[in-house]
Amino acid sequence: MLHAGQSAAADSTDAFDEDSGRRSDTLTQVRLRDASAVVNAWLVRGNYVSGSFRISTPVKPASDYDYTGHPQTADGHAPILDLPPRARRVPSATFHALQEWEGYVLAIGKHDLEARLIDITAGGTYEGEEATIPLLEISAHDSKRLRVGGVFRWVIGYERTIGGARRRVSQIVFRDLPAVTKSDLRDSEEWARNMFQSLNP
Amino acid sequence: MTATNLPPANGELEITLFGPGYGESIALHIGDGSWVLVDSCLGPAGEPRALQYLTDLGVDPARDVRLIVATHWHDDHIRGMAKLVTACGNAVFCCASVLRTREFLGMVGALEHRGLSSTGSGVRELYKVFKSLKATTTFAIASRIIYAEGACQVWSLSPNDKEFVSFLSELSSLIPGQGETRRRISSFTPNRISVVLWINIGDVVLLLGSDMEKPGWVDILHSTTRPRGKASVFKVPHHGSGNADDPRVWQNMLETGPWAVVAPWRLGGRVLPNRRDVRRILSFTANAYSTVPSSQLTSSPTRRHRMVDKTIRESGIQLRSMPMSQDAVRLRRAAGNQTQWRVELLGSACALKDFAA
Repeated sequence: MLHAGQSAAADSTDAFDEDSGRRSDTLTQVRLRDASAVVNAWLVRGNYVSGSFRISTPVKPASDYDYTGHPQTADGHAPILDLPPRARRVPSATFHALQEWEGYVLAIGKHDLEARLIDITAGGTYEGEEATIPLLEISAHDSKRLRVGGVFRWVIGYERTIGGARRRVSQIVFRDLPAVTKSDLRDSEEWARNMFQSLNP
Repeated sequence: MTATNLPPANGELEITLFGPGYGESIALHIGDGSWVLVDSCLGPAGEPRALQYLTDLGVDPARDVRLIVATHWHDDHIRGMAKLVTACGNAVFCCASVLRTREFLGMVGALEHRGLSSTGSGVRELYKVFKSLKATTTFAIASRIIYAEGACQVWSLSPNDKEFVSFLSELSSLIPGQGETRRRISSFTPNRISVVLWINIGDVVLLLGSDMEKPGWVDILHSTTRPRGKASVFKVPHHGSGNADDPRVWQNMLETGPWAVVAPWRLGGRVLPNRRDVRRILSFTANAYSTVPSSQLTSSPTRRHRMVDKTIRESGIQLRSMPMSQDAVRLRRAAGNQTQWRVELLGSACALKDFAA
């Protein structure tokens, strides 16, 4: 039994860094489908890993989760992921990221979109680049999420297929940022109230 | 110490406009070693450009900066503001009064307090400023003196009550509701609530136009309570855009042939000022300068792993670095009305007539 935010996901996958041969084990996001708290996907650094894992109790309704990637249980701890028994290792495709950006859409034209990018690989904290991206680069699935202000990840790297072939991949994935929850709104209102009092003594 | 790094004499006034190609910021020496900073943009080292400049001059920002004004929270005017405010611990911080309302703070809290994306935004920078704010704050609204020291008076000419109310009524649409997915707000335009500054230093007057657009200028021109007089220096509003120009500003608020400074802007293929804007500004004054020539607005992308570069080329994605240069236009003169401004072009800054050359 492992906590979300630790190496649970990496332990259950074959996510390896091709250069170092080490596990790529940074769990960066867990999504909950609904109040039954089924984890339906997570992102290991540079690797989207799919799966379906049950979260054992105690579990609060999904609306009360802290969506910063570290779901909280009633006692303040991350919920316990009850992982399925480890199966015999089966070959799977791996991905080695060479370059990663986070971007947001500034404008959408007929054939392309304008975006600003932060170089995640270089540890950037401000947008340092702009890109004109052909709309053809956006997958049909992601085109539903395409909107001004939409946030995406752009990763360039190598994919090694199950058969062992290596190919270069450029992938733009729009992030389906979690919805605003009741507790988010409560916290925000409290922050705003405190800030208002401090600015209007 | 190079001539560029020589600080102004105590009796000398200075206005330096930084405009690295994306973003703008102003450093203003109001005399006797006191400085006012307006807006913030980043320099090549990723630090607030104005802070780097003052340090290069040997100025102690913590002691000598008296006032910091955030005219509005657009990315190109506020990047690095939180660092600036922290470094200038002795300065009064000023922003538009509408930003201290419960409604606006509610929006900032809702968008940023539990934010998920690492992508920055002007609202996030403002959130960081508010969080780290320990300095005295003052708030700008039309026809208010926001700072006074010796012979220097800093007036805000905007936003007015009408814009204040209309802005508040629009805010509700920006506050995400429960169940709505988060996003980054980038299309919201706060230009009309930006703070236009009128600065008197003895007989010398400066008009800093921020990103104020034409309707806001109409209100300022019609105001019966704004300070009278004519400015000798004009920070041309909204990067020289035609939508921010009202000829009556040049006629009624500026001396003949004023010193005009422009910080250009580029987004994708769109550049401000465009050729028509340049012609229009030059029709009002020959003393117009730009912080960068248009050729500097397009930078080659950063070189990366050759496989990354190759993949970018093959995908048809056009990648451009956002320029962050040292470029600036600096004007200095002795206080008093017997002297003229002396212009210095730092880096690749140029006369506006050479902007597109």
